[in-house]
Amino acid sequence: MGDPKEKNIFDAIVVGSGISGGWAAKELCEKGLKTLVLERGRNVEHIKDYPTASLNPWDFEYRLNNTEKERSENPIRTAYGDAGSNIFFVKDSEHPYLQEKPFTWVRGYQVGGRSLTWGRQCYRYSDLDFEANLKDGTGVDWPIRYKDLAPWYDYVETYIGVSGQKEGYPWLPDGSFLPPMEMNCIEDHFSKQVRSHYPERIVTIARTANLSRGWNGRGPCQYRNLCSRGCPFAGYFSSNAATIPSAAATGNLTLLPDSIVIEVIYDEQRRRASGVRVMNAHTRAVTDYYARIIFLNASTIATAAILLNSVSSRFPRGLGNSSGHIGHNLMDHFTGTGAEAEFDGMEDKYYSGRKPIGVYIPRFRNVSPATARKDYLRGFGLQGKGGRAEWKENGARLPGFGPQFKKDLLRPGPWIMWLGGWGETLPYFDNKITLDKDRKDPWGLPLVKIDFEYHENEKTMSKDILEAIQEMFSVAGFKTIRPYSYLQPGGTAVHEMGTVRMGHDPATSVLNGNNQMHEVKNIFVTDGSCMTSSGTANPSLTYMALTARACDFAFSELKKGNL
Amino acid sequence: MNRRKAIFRISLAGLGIAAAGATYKWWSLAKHPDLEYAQLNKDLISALCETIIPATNTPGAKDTGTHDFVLKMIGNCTPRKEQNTFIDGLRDIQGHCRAKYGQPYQHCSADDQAAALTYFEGKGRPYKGVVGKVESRLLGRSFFAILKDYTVQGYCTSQSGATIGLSYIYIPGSFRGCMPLQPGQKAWATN
Repeated sequence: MGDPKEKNIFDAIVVGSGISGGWAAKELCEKGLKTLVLERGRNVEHIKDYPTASLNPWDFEYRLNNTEKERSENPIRTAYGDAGSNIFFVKDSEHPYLQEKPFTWVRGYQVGGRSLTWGRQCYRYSDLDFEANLKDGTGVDWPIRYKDLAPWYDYVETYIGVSGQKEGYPWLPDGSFLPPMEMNCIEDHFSKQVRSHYPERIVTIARTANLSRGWNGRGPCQYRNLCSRGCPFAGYFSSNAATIPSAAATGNLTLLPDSIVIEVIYDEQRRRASGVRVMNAHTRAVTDYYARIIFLNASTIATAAILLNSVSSRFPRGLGNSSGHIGHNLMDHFTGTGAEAEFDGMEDKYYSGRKPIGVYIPRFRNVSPATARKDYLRGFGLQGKGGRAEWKENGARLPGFGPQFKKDLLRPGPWIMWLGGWGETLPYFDNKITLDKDRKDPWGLPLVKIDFEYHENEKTMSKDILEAIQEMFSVAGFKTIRPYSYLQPGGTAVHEMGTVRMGHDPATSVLNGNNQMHEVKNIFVTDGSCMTSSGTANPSLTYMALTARACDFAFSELKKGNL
Repeated sequence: MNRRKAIFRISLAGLGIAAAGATYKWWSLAKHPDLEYAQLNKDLISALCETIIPATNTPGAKDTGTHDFVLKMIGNCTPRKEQNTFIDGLRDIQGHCRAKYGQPYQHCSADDQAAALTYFEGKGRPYKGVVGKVESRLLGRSFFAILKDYTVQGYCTSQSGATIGLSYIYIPGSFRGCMPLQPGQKAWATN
């Protein structure tokens, strides 16, 4: 069969198979490139590998509770997963990292990554976000604007299927939507009250990658609200249900699970990356794979770690890292501030089916002179969900026991609603990940060390979030309002981003406006690490749009012979 | 003054003076829990669960095997402090019933069972406000709170609790956000 190296040569390599890696795989394969996708975790095949997806509550030994042993061994996994979804989160105990300050790094090492367990919220960023750094002089300017990304948002939404309501709200651009899901009675009431009291605000039904009707051979959503177990109906978008099958259908995809990328190999003569060095997660065997272009989609922290570990005489601080910015400017959205409120009335109304989403209030602070704040920059989005108190709430709320308690426990209680803030976090150089060369993971790779904290801007904003939420509940006629506020550790929103940022200037950024590395032209980074600022919206849709756009650019550069 | 509150006061005062009492307290919650005692008292647990959610025109806790779930939760899903609180609570309520009614809880009349459980509900009620928060952080939940929580969970997530006591649709297939509540309509078992 000729040179054994032959079989390790591809047109393109994609590192990671999560929400952005899946997109890179689909786009590159559909353009006719022989594409190798490397995934460090196990394979997860759509439907076949969703063993818990169709189980009832009583089918689980502990009815979805985590055991104490599981909780103490895996505090992060158990904070996000239950017995139905734990299989899609790594065991903390098997994947150590160092926390200089508490940081929650939620990982899903498997084919599909965290696209299996994501929140599915799909909001476009606007120029309020893309111009923010330039306008207030924070970090560096984004090298793109909304108009650059708008057609790619269309492209991505049209493929994945996003249900939502067009609103014409300037800071939350409308998209190509499937029919919106209905609000329930309390959400609808809240929405109308807020809109009438604050003409500049909207409360819209969540824009979600749950399919409100059949789409591209997938779905529709069956309203089971068990998404994070994997959906046997393909009712929501995941790499497993959509992009990976699309990529495979071209015949151009080679998918290698259990393949940990150690480093990117740099060719000093050609001043290009020649490939990647990969360790089999089980056998520890090391193999090199080669390609003309490489997409890094390992997720924000892991992508930065791979680049920092890719050391050569040309790049002693990590591949493409002359700026010294790789690993820095780590951001997340801060959560932990919100309130729950009870409403008296509408006791003769209920709902049917389990809606997998709630409502969204896009940013309304610092969007105009009238909404300007003197005490902090940027703003926040609010997400919430309403419903009637059911057994969980009733059991905690009702005193006593016996026949009357049982009767009240089993019938719908008062309407309740919850609202929480997702606050923009500024890019701070000191919020960073580094590698600890002296401490190794089970595969002998340096441990990732995360050093992240929120600053005054976030802390001041969180106070305003709390006030704004309570005020809106009060305006909407809610009676008992129970606020909560504690700044959670970074990473809690699972929106980590910014460690390999885009920018105009190679001295202060790593990637250009096409997600191409300034210093190594055949490397593209399109996961969350490329983000120049965090905005307030859930970021996955933007990662997908940036990925599709960068694939288009990379392919045209290949055709022109520039790569 | 019951033991829980006494212990709590000791541990508040324990910043030096009541060190001995505090030590006893930490030992009593940190000791190896006597899980066998819980296993041997399945009848008692079953009777307690049934007092909380009795059979009416729908199944009760006993019909749904809720005591088995409670035992599983106590065995594997409960922090050690609360395991000890729960097991000590079983002993206490049994002692209380023997002293007051001359027989173990499971043989008492429904009225006596209710009176006994009301007494333990009162004993376990946390202090109000910040003190209560500190109390439950230090000591965990009371015997009654643990028992009630696990009974409610066990019942509402069991097959007959979910499908007969409550309403459960395996695959709803559609969503309607706002519709009239039918007379006597039960709450949904899952959301």
